[in-house]
Amino acid sequence: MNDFEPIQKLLRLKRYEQPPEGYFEDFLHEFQQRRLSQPVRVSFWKLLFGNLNELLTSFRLPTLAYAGIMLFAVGLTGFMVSGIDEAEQAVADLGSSEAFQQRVSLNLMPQQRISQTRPLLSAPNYSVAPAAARSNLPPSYVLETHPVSYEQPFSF
Amino acid sequence: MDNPPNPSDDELVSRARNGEPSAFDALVIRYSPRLYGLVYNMTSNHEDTNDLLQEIFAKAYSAIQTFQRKSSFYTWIHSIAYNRTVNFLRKRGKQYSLSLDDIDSNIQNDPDFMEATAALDPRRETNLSELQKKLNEAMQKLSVNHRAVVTMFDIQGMPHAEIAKILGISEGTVRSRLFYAHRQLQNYLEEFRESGGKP
Repeated sequence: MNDFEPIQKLLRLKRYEQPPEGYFEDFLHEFQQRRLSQPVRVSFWKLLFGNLNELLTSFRLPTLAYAGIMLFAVGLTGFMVSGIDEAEQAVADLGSSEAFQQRVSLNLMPQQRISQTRPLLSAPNYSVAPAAARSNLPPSYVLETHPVSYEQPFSF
Repeated sequence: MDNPPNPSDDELVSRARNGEPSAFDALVIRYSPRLYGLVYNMTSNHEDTNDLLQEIFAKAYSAIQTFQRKSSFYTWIHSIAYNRTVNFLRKRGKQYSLSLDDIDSNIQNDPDFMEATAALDPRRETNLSELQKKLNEAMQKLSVNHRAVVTMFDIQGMPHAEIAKILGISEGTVRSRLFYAHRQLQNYLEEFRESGGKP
């Protein structure tokens, strides 16, 4: 006997609490009246969904269909794995080429990129001041149109 | 084609879905006593139970077309009843009044009742109504979730697995809720029990 047996016995007595006699007949009558006064309107889509769902639930796929689906899944997985291998090989080949090195350099961190930039002197067009200014002034070097220095480059 | 004398729930559901209201009426007749017990023992109020029961069957009737048969009709209709009752009780809050049903006279022959009231034979009638009131008050002190499992398990005699399906919880949770509910009820009814049935 468990510790709660007396409580459970008391609770079981609640089964004897019953509605008045004839209640359930009256209840059904009331329900029917209510149904007549408030006809159910089910939307077309709800109805369609319900019927479709039941159809699919009742539809039993043969075992062979499951086997076919499984075979297809295995094939697809194999195809994808072989595709990944090929892609990895292509990346390995590319890694040795110059184009790849260039691409990698573009992907470096900003600090790394700064350390690898070319000197301004070697820049073709914008590193030296325009010709008109150069005639009266010592050679100057600009960075992005802002003057950097008006001293001789080799005056140290 | 003649309908079978005692059609299954599935058969009645199919017929109701095909536009046969009398098939749904048969389901109402079949399930209203059980659902009445569930709702009444959770609300302890006859009028509220009646209103809720009407709503529950109306809801089920309007949703019968979309009933997907993933569970039995029994589980489905009990879930609707449980959810509707819980919503109602949450709105009602702690403001409630007891409106209790009469007690079937057959209780006099129940051994559990005789044991509970053995010491008070001369005053059995008085004690019976007091016992009923005390039990219902104790039930209302439980949380809604605890009250539901006590109602289904102790009063309606449902197995743990069925309760778990209806409430959408595990059997372990059902057992755990039952344990705590029993312990709480034992505390609430301790005074009553110690005085041998005298409130």
